[in-house]
This record gives sequence, C-alpha cells and structure tokens, in this order.
Amino acid sequence: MLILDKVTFDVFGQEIVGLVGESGSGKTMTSLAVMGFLPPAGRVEGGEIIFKGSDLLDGTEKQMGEIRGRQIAMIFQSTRSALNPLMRVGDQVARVYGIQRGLGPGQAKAEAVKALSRMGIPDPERRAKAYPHQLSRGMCQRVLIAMMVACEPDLLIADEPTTGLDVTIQAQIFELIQEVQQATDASILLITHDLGVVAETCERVVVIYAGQVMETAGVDSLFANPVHPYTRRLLHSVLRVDKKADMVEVDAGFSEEVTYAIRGCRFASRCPRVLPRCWEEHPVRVEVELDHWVRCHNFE
Amino acid sequence: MPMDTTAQEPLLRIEELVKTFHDGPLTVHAVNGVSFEVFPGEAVGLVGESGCGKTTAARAILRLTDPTSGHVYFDGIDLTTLSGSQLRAQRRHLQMVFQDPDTSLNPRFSVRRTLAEPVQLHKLVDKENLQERLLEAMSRVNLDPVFLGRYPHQLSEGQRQRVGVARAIITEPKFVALDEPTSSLDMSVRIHMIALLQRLQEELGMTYIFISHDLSAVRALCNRVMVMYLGTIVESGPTDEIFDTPLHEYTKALLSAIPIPDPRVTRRRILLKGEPPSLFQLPPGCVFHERCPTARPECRQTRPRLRDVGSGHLVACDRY
Repeated sequence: MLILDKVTFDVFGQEIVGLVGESGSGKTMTSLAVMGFLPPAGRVEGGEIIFKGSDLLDGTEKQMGEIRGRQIAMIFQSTRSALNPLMRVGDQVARVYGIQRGLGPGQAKAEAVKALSRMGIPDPERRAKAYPHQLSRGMCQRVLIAMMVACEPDLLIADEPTTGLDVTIQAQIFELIQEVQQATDASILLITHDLGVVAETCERVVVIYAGQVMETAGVDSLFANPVHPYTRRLLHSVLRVDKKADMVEVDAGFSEEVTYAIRGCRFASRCPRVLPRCWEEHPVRVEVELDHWVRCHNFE
Repeated sequence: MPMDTTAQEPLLRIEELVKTFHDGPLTVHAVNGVSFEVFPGEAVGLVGESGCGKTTAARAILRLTDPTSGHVYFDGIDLTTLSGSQLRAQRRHLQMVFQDPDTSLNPRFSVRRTLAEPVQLHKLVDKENLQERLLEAMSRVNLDPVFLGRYPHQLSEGQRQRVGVARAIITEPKFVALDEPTSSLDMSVRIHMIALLQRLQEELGMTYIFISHDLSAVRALCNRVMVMYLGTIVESGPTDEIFDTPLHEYTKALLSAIPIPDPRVTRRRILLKGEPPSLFQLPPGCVFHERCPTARPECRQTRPRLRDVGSGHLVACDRY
C-alpha cells in the first residue's frame, strides 16, 4: 500500500514549520522517513530528502548515523518510552554529551546538570539522579529536550511533543521549544494535529491528509485564505476557547474512513467540490499566492 | 439553551463530597469537599487537568466508587445510603460514557449485545420491541443499523465512542456523566461528537455532566462550568462568563494556556510555575497558593470558601 504519495515541502533555516494532519495522515511516517527510521515493512519508493544539499536517501547507514542526532534530532510523542527506564536521567543526558561532544564522564555529568537546569527543571542536581518513572511526563519531556539540545542539531523534528500533557504544561513546553529554537538557531519541523499550536508557534504550515500534502503556506496566509477544500473543512471544524462555537453547519453524516487506494486525490470521496478527474489524476502543485501552494484540480 | 434555574428543584445535589484512596500508609486526597447542584436540562462542564479529581468525583456521584463522605441527592434520594438493589433500580436513570471506548466496551460483545444488555436488565421493553429500541438508539447516534452485528474492533474510534453514547442513552436516563468523550477523537470527528451530544440533549431533555480538559469543547456544549484544582472546585458559573471574565488565577492561567487557532489573536499567556502539588499531602490554606502569582501570606492559612460574586458566578479566592 502506498502511504505517502509525493509528499513535497521545504524547511528553511531557523524557521518553525508545522506539519498538520489527523490520525493516519502520514505525519509521523514522514518524519520517520527523514530520520531513516521507517518500520521494517516500509520502504521509500521514490523521491528525495535533501538536507543541506545532499540526499539523505543516498547515504549509507553509517553516514546517516553521523547526521542523526548530531544534525537532525527528533523528540518523540511518547516521552516515557523514549527514555531508558533503567538509567538515571542525568546519566542519559550526560551520555549524549559524551558521544556527541566527546566529553569525559565527569565533565559530561556536570554539563548534563547544567542542561537540565536550563530546561527549567527545578533542583537539577537531585533530579539528575532520578529515574524516568520518578518524574512527571512534563519533566521527562524537558529531559528529552535537554538531550536534543546537547546535540546542537540544525533540524529538530518534534512529533506531537505535548501529547498526553496538560494544557498548562503544554504551554510551558512550547515556550521552552521556542526558546531553544532562538538560542540554537535550529529549524524545527513540528508535527501536530492542533491548529491552535500551529497558529501560535509556526511560521509556515504543511497540511497533510491521507499521505498527500494538500496545501502549504505561511501561517497567516493559510488561516486567512485556506484554499484546499480539506484545509477549509479542517479550519471549520476547529473549536475555539475564546468564542462560542456555531454548531449549525456541522454535517452529521461525515465518514471517518481514510482511503489510500485512490490514484487521484485521496480527499475525493469526502470533498464537496469533487470533479470527475479528481479520482484519476493527482493534482499538480499550484502556487495560488506568493509561497502558498495547493494541490487541487479546482485551482489548476 | 439558557436555563431558568431559580424556579426548579435541582436534579442532582452534591454536598461535601470527599473521596480518598489508600496507598499503603499514604492517603490520596482525590476529591476534597465538593458541593454543587445540577438542574434538569443543564449541561455542566467539569474541567481541570489530570489528577484534579474530576473523574473520581463523577464516579463517586454515580457510586461506581463509594464516596468516603458527603451526600449525593438525585431526584431527592440520597444515593450514598442506598443498598445494592435499591441502587441498581436507580441505575437506568444515571448513566456514564467512559473516556476510552477501547476498554469500556466488551470486545467479545457485538454492538447489539452491548446495547441490548441494559434494556433487558432493566426490563424496559418486551422481546418483540427490543429491535425497535436498538434501531432507535443507533439512529440517534448516527450509526447505520448494519453496525449492530459488528464487534468493537471492527469500528473506528469515533464509531466506538458513539456506541458508548448509545449504550448510555438507551435506558432513557435523566442524568448522564460524560467522561472525556472527545479526548481520543480527531478534530473533525470531535466536532461531530459534540454536535451529536448537543442534539441528543435537546431531543431527549437529558442532564449532563461533561468532564473534560478540552475547554473549547466545554465552551461549545455546556451552559455552566466548574473548574477543579486538586480535588476542589475553585470557580464555577455560566460558561460564557467564566470563559470571558475568569476571576480565579488558576482559571485564568488554564484558559490562557490553550492555543487559539487564529494567528491574528495575540494574548498574554500566564505561565504557571511548576506542577500541581502531590495529592498525598495537600497544601494548607488555598490549594493553589504555591503556584498563584497573586498569593498573599494569609492564603497559606485558611482555605477560601466558594463565594457568589453575582449572577451565579462562584469563586474560591479571598481576593473577591
């Protein structure tokens, strides 16, 4: 089964790009492909992933190992399973300093404590000696971000970094991610399903549905002028905490199933503006405004 | 739907509800003296972050777990004093939709059996009318009758959650507690669930408690909202008033933490320091004073009571 279908987008230096989609849209699969972490059943059939001028897909596993961590780092959805449960968190951070910066054990440990403190972890000396299960999930995410920062990557992929965290903790984590971005000049690919997070954190957005990128645009342009019928529906279905929702226009008979086995546009079966050729031909990328791209036959 | 709450008797009255759990020598103070009323036809939101006691409060109200102390009056009857069989007789009027349909639906039961069980248990219809009842419940939650023959694993997340709702409403309950019914759903599916719940409430005249950390969903569905922190209600009132002019510092921080999907909106975010204190040892005085940006020395001494500051807006803060 073809999951990702001609996924195309750019991330420029020092920018935060949001990759937005619902479950099954291929957001995580995209990031795993970039990291070279595709599951055994998955393989890249075509296309390229150009990072700083060279195609990551051409590299050997050894070359990829050099890039991974040092230049491209990822923070995962599930914080607890990303940490080693049998190792003190301070040692896990220190290990990164040892491997990536070549520091000796004593120095690495001292750096690790400093890093934890910079991540806003109170009492870092003591917390460094804790095991992951002794820390809250918000704290574990801070530890992971500390590990990532230790690598000083050029690109950081954050895959739903606040899933399962409470909103007040989520706000703290996004604040931290933005601080880290400014301090390290890294680019961030933020994978999320939350359009609120996108509006507040990102500069550009990539909207993905069933493994096809539907629309890419600057945040302001996308929210002010969503073009693709899927994006429009997505923005329409979002609830706001600052306004009372108007529920009148919600169509109740909406199907939830995502179909991948369509040659054309995978949104065709749910699209209010579907054309006969939508089922057969995958639309080409069209620029509707400056740096606002859409794949939809209605706009060709 | 605005409710005239002055003229009627409450359907549900909770008085000083307390629930503690024991973990070895330690005591977990999950719900610490919660009192409120719910009037017929109201949809009341119970919001707060994980561990604030909102689910435990609902479970204790329905006596899915026995409260440690306090009273729950439902239609004038004190549920906390009922025997097992007396309670079972009331069950058809008090239903719950659980957070996770994966664990609250029996994987070995078809949708038909899941929905038929409460109807048969409470002897609500004759054998020949059962099918009709099932079809009605299915149509109320927008599920095709063909799904009656399916098992939970054959359904999508959203469909499973709708089966959970159908099971709750099939006994025509007066009161339904909805525990995070939307938290496992995708955005576009979530809004359909909320529209569905809204429609059901209007059609069937049910009374809801909607437990959620999803405040935008609460804003869309509820007439009134109660904010919980560390097992107590810190603020409650009409939904729009709480969302537009929150008074308690915790409510303000909670609302300001929710990202707004509109790049034109810029807000001042109140970032709370640290994380909620342990439920093993409640802080003295106001439960929120350790994280409160406006805490004063006296906040550490006495716990503020919920006080009415006008038009049903209650806040537990001594500054008001």
